Amino acid sequence: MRNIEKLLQGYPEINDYVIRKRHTKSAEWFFIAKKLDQSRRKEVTYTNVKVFVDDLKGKHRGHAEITIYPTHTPEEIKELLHEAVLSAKLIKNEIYTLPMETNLEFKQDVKENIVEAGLEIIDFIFDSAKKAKGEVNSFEVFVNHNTVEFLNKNGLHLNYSTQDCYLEMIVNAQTPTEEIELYKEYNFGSLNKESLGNQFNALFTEAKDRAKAQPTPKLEKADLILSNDNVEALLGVYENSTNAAALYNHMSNFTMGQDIQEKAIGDRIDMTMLSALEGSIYTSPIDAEGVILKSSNVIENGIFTQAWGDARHSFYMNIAPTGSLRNVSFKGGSKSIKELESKDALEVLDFSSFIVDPSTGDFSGEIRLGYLIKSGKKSPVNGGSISGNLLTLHHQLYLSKETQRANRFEGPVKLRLCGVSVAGIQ
Amino acid sequence: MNDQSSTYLNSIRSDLKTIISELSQHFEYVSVLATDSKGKAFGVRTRSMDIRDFMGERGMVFRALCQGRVAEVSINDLKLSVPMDASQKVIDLFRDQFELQERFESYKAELSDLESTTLEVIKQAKIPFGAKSTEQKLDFLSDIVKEVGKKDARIVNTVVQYMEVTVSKLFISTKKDLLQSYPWSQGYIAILGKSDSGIRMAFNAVSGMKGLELLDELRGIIDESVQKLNDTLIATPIIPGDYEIICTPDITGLIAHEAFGHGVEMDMFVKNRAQAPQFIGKPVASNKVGMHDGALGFEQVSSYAFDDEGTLAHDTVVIDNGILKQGICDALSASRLKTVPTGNGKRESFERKAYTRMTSTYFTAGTDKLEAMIASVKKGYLLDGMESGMEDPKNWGIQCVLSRGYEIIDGKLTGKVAGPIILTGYVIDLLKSISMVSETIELSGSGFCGKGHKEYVKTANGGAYIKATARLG
Repeated sequence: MRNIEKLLQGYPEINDYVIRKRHTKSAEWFFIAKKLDQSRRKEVTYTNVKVFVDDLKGKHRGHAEITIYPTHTPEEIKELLHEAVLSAKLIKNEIYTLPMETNLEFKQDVKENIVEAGLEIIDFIFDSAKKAKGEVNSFEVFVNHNTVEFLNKNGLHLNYSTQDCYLEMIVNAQTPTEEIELYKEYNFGSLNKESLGNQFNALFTEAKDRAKAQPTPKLEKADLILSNDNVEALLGVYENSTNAAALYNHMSNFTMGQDIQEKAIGDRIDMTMLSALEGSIYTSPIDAEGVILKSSNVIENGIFTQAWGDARHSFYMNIAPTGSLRNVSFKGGSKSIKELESKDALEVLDFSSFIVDPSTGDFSGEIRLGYLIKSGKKSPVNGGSISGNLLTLHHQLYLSKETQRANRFEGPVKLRLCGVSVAGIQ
Repeated sequence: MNDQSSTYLNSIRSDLKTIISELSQHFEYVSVLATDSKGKAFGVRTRSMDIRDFMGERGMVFRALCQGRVAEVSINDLKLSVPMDASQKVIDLFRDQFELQERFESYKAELSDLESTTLEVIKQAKIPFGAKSTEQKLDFLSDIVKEVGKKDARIVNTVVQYMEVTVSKLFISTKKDLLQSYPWSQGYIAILGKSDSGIRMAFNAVSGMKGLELLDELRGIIDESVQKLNDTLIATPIIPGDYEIICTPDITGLIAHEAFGHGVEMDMFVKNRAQAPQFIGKPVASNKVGMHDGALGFEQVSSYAFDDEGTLAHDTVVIDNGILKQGICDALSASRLKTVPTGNGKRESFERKAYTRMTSTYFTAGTDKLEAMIASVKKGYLLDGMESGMEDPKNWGIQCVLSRGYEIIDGKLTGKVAGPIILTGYVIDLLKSISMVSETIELSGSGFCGKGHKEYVKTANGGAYIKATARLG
């Protein structure tokens, strides 16, 4: 990295630069039921270099980013850096500056145990399935250990390491006439057996319920209850719409200071973007440009109080940069899960894919497993779809008091949204 | 950007052969895929611009079989200057895995190259990427942004992206020595407009196994893109229900891809995650439906000479006259299913596992005129604007999210637009309801395809206009 820095110092026109080197070792396993399909190992290193060049009048700033591979020759590296500087000169964005922050003490040295961690996860999956009498169709386990070195022109220099896990799981259940499946994926820093075990148990139960499900009735409109990762996906509209880049590029329906839930009769949103969250795979104290991450209260009681974002777009929006935050916390709401489920509703636990447009608030998804709640009775349903727009419906949004923490998200376990369109089957 | 074949791959070819020869002394099958792909994305928006690396990669993935068990090593910092040291490092990474694999029962595979194959395919773009400077490309895109911005006062942001990629891959096993290099490019215009109902976006794209000639195609879709924005801004929510539908080739392609393409990926057969095996030789669609997949079929963004496992590209007939003929298959799945691979073993990059993946997937043409198709609709929608889709091969559900539906009543377009729309249903019901198919087919490849929610690769989809019935919400 110091060699690259030396080459960059040969370009006096460069106003800022950041260099980030990441070495990743990973162990991966692919299972079909109890039999191993194959295993994989990975060892890769990438050096990302981003250069910033201001024009002579100080009105514009351009940037360009390149990736240097370990097999690039010194001549290739020189050529890539030269191209990056030329490209940055051609980019005419409004001028902005990066914060001069160098005072950061951060030590994180996670011991590499990718093989042991992977084997522990595999054993846990088999044990959990056995205990729950659940049927695993197939699963994939990835464990990555990352060593990161970062430095920028201001002198910020960090070395740290992380380890993260990814698990894709497909489970089956039998109906009298066919076999059905459910799909889930999990991201976590290290194995929390209690948390993951609860999620597995829920998944096996859901698979059995899908096997008993009846076609979703033609409801046209219904109150929708969402849970777990679908809550995170839907509330992601608030994260995106309060980001400085979205505001600058007119990709948000919100403005700072706005009561975003005008005339709300349900729960009001309280959202904080976080620099760190226990259990999250996002543990870096800085973003890709070296901005030291700072937590920020963004939406308070339904009022959009403060935007968040990277250095460039924060500069444009005249706000203090928080850095590109990845973790988020939503406060729980006024009703317990029991209360949310006490009135008639369609609760959807699993979609083929829950699609949320983070700019417009449009959402939709085909129902793989839902529960029709009618007069206090829950019946499993599947097929058909739901659709709606969060921003036109969130005046009647209710969040559960109970909260969850899953990877980068902390917030209500369930939410209830009134007046969602349902394309049922019969 | 240089669109010639990779100097790097040519420089390591001999060393890799030495390493493969050494590895073959230790394992019953060994191969390596080395990649050196380069790409750039040029983006201009109303208020900003950028240039970034796009889909570039340089590294290698080794595969070995030991007593039928399979292991892989992905690596990008292997020092080849002393091939024996490099061989030893790879051998150690394999041995460690095969020892650990003994803890588990394994799915066995058998891979062998029966015939020696040497192939070198270097495709050139009609207009090479290097024919315009970076400055000229940015100026071209900036002009499009300015032109679009003048066309409608409701436009708040225009995003124009142009991406160019040169793929270079080298595959070596004890009997195969394959090298290919080819260009592809894509561009899109995304326009954000504001109406009383808030921000809406219209998206329009061009793509192909093309060079800079794509830029003129991109400029050619300006008016169409602005019209799509207008239609999106006036769209109102649809009343959920079952409707007669006519799909533009864009949507036909999405249905071909999601409804049936994923369902015939044969690694899903190995996992018992697809219903298709029970339907081979049986009707799965109306007799007007034919479907192909293959990297040889069309020159699009996923057309190549050989796949990431060294299998030569095919053009596979999946459905013929409504009858399911066969699936598409990667090499390992073919071994386990005792069939032959079809050149569909693809990786997101050298870092990732190979799965069975689609290439160019399309419904074949029919004999109907679009005007007659619209005239035949009593109450329904002409569907346009692909947004996303999701497969469910196990239970043959389908989910397609679309931007717009143009209302048709008594055979005429009424001028009313509904959107966004989610199309769902049972695949067989949907395909059997296809009653009319237009005469010409179009393919596009501006999106990415995932396996589940990861492993994103380039694919192209398309077909003709089709008439069917479907549930819309």
